[in-house]
Amino acid sequence: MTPAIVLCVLFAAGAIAGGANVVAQRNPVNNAIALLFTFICVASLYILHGAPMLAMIQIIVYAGAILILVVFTIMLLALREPEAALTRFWTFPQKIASLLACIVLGGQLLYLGWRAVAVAPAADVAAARELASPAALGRALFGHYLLPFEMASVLLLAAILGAVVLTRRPKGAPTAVNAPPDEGPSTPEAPS
Amino acid sequence: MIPIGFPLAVGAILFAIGAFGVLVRRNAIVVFMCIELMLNGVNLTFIGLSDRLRLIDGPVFVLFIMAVAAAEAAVGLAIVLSVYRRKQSVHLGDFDSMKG
Repeated sequence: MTPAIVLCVLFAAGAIAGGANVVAQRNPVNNAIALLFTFICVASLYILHGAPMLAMIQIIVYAGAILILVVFTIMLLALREPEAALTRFWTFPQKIASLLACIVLGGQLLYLGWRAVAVAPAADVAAARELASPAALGRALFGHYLLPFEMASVLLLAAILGAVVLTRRPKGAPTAVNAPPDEGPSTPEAPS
Repeated sequence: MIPIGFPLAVGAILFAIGAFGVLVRRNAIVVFMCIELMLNGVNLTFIGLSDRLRLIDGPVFVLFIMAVAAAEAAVGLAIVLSVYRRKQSVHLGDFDSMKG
């Protein structure tokens, strides 16, 4: 048991516990905090697997940007009542069926990984230890993967424009982002 | 060296938990968070495999997945907001306008 393996087990347990809480917690804010915990644990696992650059990007993009966006949305919506437990929307057998389906999905991912290891040629362990160092990542990104990289920037631009257009209010509507039907000047609409 | 089964198993478990959440939860924002969880599971699989096989492609793919996830977060949450304005709800069961 090297220290790396101990740390790995620790962070893996944290990631799985955080993931379970993302599904199990009732209050969306608690879900978001559990997700933050999972992101940080996964970032630590990246470091342990020799990808410190990606760990930093994970913290910046996921924990920094995406999660802030999620929390911001939760705040804007001001959900009044938390969702009823793992809801009565589905019956018990259906939940069991979905659990089985998810186990099969996870098993497939695991199996594909195993196959990849079994089929691949023996790894060249003598290669540089820090495989995903910023320099190596940059060389791959601006060399072989230049076109997808540029397309990703176009995709992000399109996403920005899409988000702005989607959340723009029609002309003449009240300015409050989220005027509740009972106190805002907006025309009351019965919650469905 | 960390055994290869380790990141694969953790990634698969995270993916399965996320998929279960997507199927069972009815709050649009929570479903969205579960999708992010699934993406993280896949990313962990990519990193573990590329560490073992000494390939740079895994980290590059993870980078692209993060870019797409950021775009997805912006657009997805914008959709949730605009649907909430119309329906005053983020409960997926309420979105049945197109039901025959």
